[in-house]
Amino acid sequence: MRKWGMVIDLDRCTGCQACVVACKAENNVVFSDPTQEETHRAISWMSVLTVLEGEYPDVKEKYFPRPCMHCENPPCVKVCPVGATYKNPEGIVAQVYTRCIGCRYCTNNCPYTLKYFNYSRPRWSNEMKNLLNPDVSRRQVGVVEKCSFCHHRLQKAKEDARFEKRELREEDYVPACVQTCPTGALIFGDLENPKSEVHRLSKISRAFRLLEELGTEPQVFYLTEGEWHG
Amino acid sequence: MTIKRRDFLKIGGGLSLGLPLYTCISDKSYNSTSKSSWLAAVEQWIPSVCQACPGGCGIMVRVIDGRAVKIEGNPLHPLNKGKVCPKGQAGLQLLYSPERVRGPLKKIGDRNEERWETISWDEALNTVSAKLQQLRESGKSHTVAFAGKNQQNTTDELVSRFFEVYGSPNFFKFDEWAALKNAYFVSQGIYDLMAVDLHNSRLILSFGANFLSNWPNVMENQRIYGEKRAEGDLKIIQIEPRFSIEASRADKWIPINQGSEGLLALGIASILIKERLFNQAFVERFTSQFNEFRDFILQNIYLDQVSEMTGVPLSTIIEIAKEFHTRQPVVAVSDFNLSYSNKGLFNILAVHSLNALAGNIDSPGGFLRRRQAPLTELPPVTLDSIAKKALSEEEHSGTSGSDLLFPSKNAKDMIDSMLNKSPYGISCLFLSSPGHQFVSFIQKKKADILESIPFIVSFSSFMDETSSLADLILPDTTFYEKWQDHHSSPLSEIPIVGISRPVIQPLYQSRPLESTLLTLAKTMGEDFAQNFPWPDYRELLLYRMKGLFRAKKGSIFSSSYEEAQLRILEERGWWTPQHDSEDAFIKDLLEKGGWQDPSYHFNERSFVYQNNSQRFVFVSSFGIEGVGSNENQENEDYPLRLFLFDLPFTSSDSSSKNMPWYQENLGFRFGLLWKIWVEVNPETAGALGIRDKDIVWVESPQGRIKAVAKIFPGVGPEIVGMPLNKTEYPLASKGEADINDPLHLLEETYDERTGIPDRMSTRVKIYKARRR
Ligand code: SF4
Ligand code: SF4
Ligand code: SF4
Repeated sequence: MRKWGMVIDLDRCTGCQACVVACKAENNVVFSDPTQEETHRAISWMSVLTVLEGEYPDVKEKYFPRPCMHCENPPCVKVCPVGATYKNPEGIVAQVYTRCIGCRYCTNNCPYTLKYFNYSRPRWSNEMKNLLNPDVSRRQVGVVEKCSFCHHRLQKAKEDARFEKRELREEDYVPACVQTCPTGALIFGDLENPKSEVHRLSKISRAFRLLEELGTEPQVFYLTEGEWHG
Repeated sequence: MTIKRRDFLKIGGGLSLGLPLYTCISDKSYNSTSKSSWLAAVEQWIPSVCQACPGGCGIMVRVIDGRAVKIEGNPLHPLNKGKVCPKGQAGLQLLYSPERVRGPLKKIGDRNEERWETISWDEALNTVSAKLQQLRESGKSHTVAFAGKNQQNTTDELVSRFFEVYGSPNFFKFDEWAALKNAYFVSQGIYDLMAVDLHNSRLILSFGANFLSNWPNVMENQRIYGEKRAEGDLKIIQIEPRFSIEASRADKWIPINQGSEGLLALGIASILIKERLFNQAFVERFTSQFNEFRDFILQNIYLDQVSEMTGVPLSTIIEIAKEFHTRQPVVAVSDFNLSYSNKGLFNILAVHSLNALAGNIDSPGGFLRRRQAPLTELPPVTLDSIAKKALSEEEHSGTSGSDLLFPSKNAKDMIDSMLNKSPYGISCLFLSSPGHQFVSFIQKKKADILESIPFIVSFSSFMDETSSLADLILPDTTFYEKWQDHHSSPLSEIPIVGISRPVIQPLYQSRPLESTLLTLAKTMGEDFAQNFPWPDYRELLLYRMKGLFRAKKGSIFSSSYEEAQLRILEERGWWTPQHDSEDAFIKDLLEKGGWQDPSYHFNERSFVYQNNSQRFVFVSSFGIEGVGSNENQENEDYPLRLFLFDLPFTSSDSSSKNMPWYQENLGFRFGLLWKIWVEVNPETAGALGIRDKDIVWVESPQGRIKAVAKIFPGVGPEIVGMPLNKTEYPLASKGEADINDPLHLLEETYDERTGIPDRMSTRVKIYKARRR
C-alpha cells in the first residue's frame, strides 16, 4: 500500500504564496472578506506561517508552508462522531462533506488548527462560479473542510491508469501546491517507497516534524534551513 | 485530442497536445463530483501565456465545457518550466471578474459623473472613426495621444504603427525600468536591460533589487534560488532600508539609509581600487575613463564619510568589498527601486560600475545581453502627406528639462504638459492600462484633465479609475480571450516568444484591442488601410512568427534534454531543421506554446557595447554631484521617513485588484488579509505609544491615510514602511480601494535626470486614530 506524504524544504521556500493560491483555485476555496478577517473565519487549507526573530538590524524570518499534516495518528479523526473525517488506507486524512454534521469537535482537536468550519455559505458571484473546479464539490454552510492532498487528483489518476490498463505511477499524482511551487520546496510522493525522493528526504538529519512530541506522527516532514540562515 | 494532466506532468519529450477546438461558452455548471459528469465533459488543456504581470510565463489552462477552471504552468516554457506564481494562479479571477465591462459604453450627461449608456460596437467605432478623421482632416492628428504601458509584444508595434500612419507622435508607454535603461545607455551605449546570469553567479550583491518578487523573470529567479540553495552554492547580500522578502532570503541583510546606495557602491569601489582587487585585464581591455573614475574616487570618497552617510558600518563595507572580490563570479544588481529617489540614475550607475570593476559583463555568472528573437519585421509604412507633416510636430515628451537621450516618459510631466497645453493641447486621448503611477496622478487631477482634454477613450476591461475618465469605453478582453505574442524580458538571457491564445471566446461584448485597431484602420480610407493588410490579428502574428522558422536557429519549446542538446549544437554553429514546412512549424509552435533560442554567444563586443569606443564607460562626473546631497532635511513636524515598497508579484497595473485570491495573501508576513499596514520599528512605536495592530494615521504634508500599525524590527527607527497596490476590499469597485493609496502621501519630487517620481524623500508622522 502506498503512503502519501510531503517533504517541505525550508531552505528553498521563498514565501511566494503560489502554493496557497493554487490550493484555493484547485479546491474551490472561497476568498475571504474583511468581516471574516475580523472574526478569524477565513479559510486557507495551505498557509505560509512566518516566524520573525531578532532585533533591528539582526533580523531573521522563517517561512513554514503548512498544509494538513495528514497525521498517522490523527486527533481529529478520533473525535468525529459520524466518521466524516477518517484516515484512508493510503495515508490521507479525508473529509466527507455530506457526512459532516458540523459539531466542530475535530476543529477543536486538531493541534495544528488546520480544520476550517464554514460559518456562512461560500459567496461566489455568478461570474466566478465559472471557474469552479467540477472535480471538487462546493461547500455548504455548517461543514468542516481541510486540505485533502488534492485527493480528487489521485482518484482521477487512478481512473486514467485503469483506463490505460496499467499500474498507477507515483508521479501520476501531485497536489496543486506541489505542482506550482516555483522553488521546488514542496516534494510529494509515497513515503513507503524506498526509491522515492520523499522517503529519502524524510530520513535525512535535516528532517523534522511539527509538534512531534504530541505523537500525532505527521506525514508532512520539514527540512531545516541550512547555515545561510544562521 | 486533449492533453491529460498526467501527460503534461511528465515534462518529457513526447508531449502531444492536440489543437484544441473551441466550444462555445456554456453556462452549464457542475454541482458535484459525480464522475459521470466529468467523464462526459470535454476537458482541454490549452497552452497560452500568462500576462498578469510583464513576465509572460507559459501556462496551460484547463477548460471544461467552455469554462476555464484552472491554470498550471507549461512545463516546456523555459522561463517558468511548469510553475506559476500566486498571481498567475489567481488569474481566472480576472477573466471572471464581476467588474468586467460588458460592452461598449458611452458616458451620458455630465463628464464628471459616471452615467453610462450601452451602445453597439458599430456605433462606438463609428464615433471614434469620425472623430479621428475629422481631427486628421483639420491638420490636428498630432493632438491625438495614446497612453499605455510598456509591453513586450506585437500589440505595442501595432499601436505605434497605427499612430504613425495616423500622424501622431504621442504614443506614451510607461516603463518603470527606464532609469536602468538610461544607465546602460550611458555606460554601454545600449538603451536596453542587461540579463543577470544568476544561475552561474556565486554572490548576488543586491542594492534593493526585488529579483525574487518583482522582476519580469521572477519565476526563473525563484527556480534558480531553489536550486542553488539546495546545492548550497549561493550567497546573497541584500542592501536595503527595509527587511524585504529578498532580505529575508539573503545570507545577510544590510540596512542602508534610503537613497545612499550609490554612495555605498562607490565606497566599495574605492576599496577595490585602492587594494587593487579589481579585474585589471577587463578594465584595460573593455572599459574607458577608468583613470578619471579612479582619481575621482581617490579624491572624493572617504570611507568614514561613506559609512556615516549610508549608515553602514565601516567593517561591513570592507567585508562586502572583500567578499565581492573573492566570490567570483559576482553580480551587483539594482532595479527600478533605486530609480525612485532623487539621485536614481547616479545610484544605478554607481552600482553598475562595480560590475565593470569585477569584469563580469558579457561573461558567465555576470551580465549578459539578450538577443532579439528573429521575428519577421512588419512591412515599412507608407505615410501620406498629412501624417508626414503631423509627425514632424514636437511630441509631448513629458520630460522637459532633461538632458538624457532617452528620457523616460513619466506620468506627472506628461499630464502636466497636456494640461498646460504646451507645446499644444491634446484633443483626444486613448488610455490602455497605463499603470498605477499614471492612475494615481489622474485621480489627483481628474477635474483638470476633463477640463482640458475634450475626448477620452478607454480600452479598460474593468471599471476602474481610467474608465471613469472616459467618454467612451471600448472594452478590451483579458489576455485569456485573445491572440497575442509575448517576448521575454531582456532580464533573462534567452530570447523566448510565447504564443498567447484565446482559451475561451471573448466574454460578453468585449473585443481585443488589436481587433479594434485593425477594424478602425479599415475605416480610415484606403491609403491608411493598406498599411494593415491582415484580415485579423492572428494572421498578423503568424506573419511575424514565420521569421522564427526562416531564421534557422532556436527551436520550438522542447524538453530540457532536447534543449541542452540544441544549445551545444548551436553554439558550435550547427542547426538542424525540425520541420519540413512553414505550416508544420506554425502548427507545432501553437501546440507547444512558443519558441526559444537557448544558445548564448559571448564576445560579440559590438552587441554589448554600442557606444563609439565599444567599451564600458566609467562615469565620474555624471550626476556625481549627488554624492552627499541625498539627505532629506530633518523636519520636526514630520520626523519619520516614508518607505514605500511594491508587494510581491505586483505589477504596476491595477488589474491585481480584481484578484482576491492573490490580494488576500499579500499581508501574510503580518497575518493581515484586507488591511493596509504601516511597519514601525519597536523603538519608535514605544516612543509614540503605539502598539501592534493599533489603527493609526500616517500623515505627510500631502494628506493622511489610515493603516494598521505593525511593530516590525525590519525597519530602522527613523523609517516607516508601507505597501503599494494593496486593496482593502475583495472586489474593489472602482475607486473604493484607492482612497487609502499610500501614493497619495508622496511629495511631488522627481529624479532630476529621469523624471521618475521620488518615493524616497517624503516625511511623515504617525499617530493613533480613534478606533475605526
Ligand atoms: S509555493 Fe513553494 S516557495 Fe512559494 S510559498 Fe509555497 S512552498 Fe514556499
Ligand atoms: S493536522 Fe489536524 S486536520 Fe490534519 S490530520 Fe492532523 S489533526 Fe487532523
Ligand atoms: S510571474 Fe507574471 S507572468 Fe508569470 S505566472 Fe506570475 S503573473 Fe503570470
